[in-house]
Amino acid sequence: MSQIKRLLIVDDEEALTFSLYQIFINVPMECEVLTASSGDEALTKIEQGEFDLVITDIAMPGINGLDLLSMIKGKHPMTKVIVITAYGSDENKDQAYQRGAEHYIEKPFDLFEIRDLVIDLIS
Amino acid sequence: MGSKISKQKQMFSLLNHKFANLWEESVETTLEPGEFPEGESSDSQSSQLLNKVYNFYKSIIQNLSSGLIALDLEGAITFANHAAAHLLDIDREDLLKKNIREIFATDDESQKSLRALFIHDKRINEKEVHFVQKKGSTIRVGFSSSQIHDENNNFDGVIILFRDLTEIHHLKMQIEKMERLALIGELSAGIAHEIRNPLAGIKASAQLLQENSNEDGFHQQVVERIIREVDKANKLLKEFFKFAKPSKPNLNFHDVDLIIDGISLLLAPQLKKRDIVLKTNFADNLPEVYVDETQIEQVIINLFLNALDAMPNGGKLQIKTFRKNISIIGIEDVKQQPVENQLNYVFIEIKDNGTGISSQNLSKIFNPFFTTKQNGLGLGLSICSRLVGENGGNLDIQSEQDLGTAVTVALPAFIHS
Repeated sequence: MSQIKRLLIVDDEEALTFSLYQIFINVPMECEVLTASSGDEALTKIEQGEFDLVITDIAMPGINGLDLLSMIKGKHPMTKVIVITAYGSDENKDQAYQRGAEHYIEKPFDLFEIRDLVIDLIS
Repeated sequence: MGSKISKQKQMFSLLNHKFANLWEESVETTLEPGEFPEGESSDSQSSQLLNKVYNFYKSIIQNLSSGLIALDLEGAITFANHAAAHLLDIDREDLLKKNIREIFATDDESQKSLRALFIHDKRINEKEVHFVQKKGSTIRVGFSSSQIHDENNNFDGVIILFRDLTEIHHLKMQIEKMERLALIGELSAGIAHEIRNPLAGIKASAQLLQENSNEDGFHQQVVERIIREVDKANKLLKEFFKFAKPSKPNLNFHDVDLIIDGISLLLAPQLKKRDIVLKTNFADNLPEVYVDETQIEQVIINLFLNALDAMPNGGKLQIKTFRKNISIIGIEDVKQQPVENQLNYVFIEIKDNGTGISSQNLSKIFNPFFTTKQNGLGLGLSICSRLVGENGGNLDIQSEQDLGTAVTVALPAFIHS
């Protein structure tokens, strides 16, 4: 994997992807940050190149975040995945960890905490 | 002698006929084969046999758990069994002086039912009505009726068989409530997504602004305020979800006394600070309860804190535990044999002598967002009630203004006998 870290943010909430994008393009490491507003769009981008880390929402149009997580882990087991969701349920949490997510975070979260978490995972 | 036997058979036939509609199966097993003498029989033997038949029917009728009332064609009560008197909370002698019209709680129910009761060849099956008890309170009953005919097949009266539906109705209401809550839970999950997603966007945008703003003063303050308000809205949503869609209980056997002891210890400094004396009275040999310990702890802590809030100038907090059993006859799956199961409940009573709740507010205290506290969300008791329900129990509150409140939590403890 290259020295430039590749990040993908998948969420249909535009205000959130914008903020996450802005915060990650300014982290003190070389990062390429891409965004997708659906699971299908995310898959297309993943097929074009492997990512170091994916942040994905669960409830999205098309492929949901949990299925996307399974696909990512099946194809690129080294890619770290953080699942974010507004559906705070035990079932979703269990599913996310069973499918190999590194972290499961409920919305709304602290932007700076998620930034630190990502830096820690990809450093 | 043959004619005596014939007369006995005739009398038996009459008895048989009168009760045939209600106890067909019992009648078939009344006499064992060969019990009727085939040949000559003495008067004494005949009398004994009649006595036996009489006692048999008397025993069936008086030991029925359902109430049984016989009426003449005017509606006057001519017979009532023990259960009828017990269910109507009246002496049998007093009940026998009444007309059925006086038993119905409302004129409307009385008129409709009486019309149906005395229509020729009409039978009523499990009709739900209200009967009035001696002290004026009413009970919900399900009743069936059957008509009595004399030896010439003339309509001679009516038999009413009834049972108390209060408990069944209560359970039905609870099931309906749980179904309604499940629906609210599903709806709230959808609302959660719709509200928490934009909240996440607002908070992240505000934090981004905070990160990139060079100003120390006004802008920073406004941004901080936005973030605080988002967190507050999210906290409210989280509390609501606890009520609307609680986590599935992780059931296991736990000792209620130990749970209460742990909470008492946790809250001891607060009790002392508020000059509240705690008195516990735990029943001996209580069975373990089958519940989610964390959820029940949350409930008991909440109820303790409510009691503390109700006693701002100190007072007495009394905790009592006891058990009650309900016997249920069920069918064992494998052997298809009837078995008696004891449905056990352990009760926790939390009683304070604080400010109490007005009768006006008492009916609203389980409504979500109803509160009399300055900074309360009004979700505490609704969450408690929901959690206890999810754990198979029940929460009940009795209160009198200025005298205090008693909260009773019933929790299931199943013992297979």
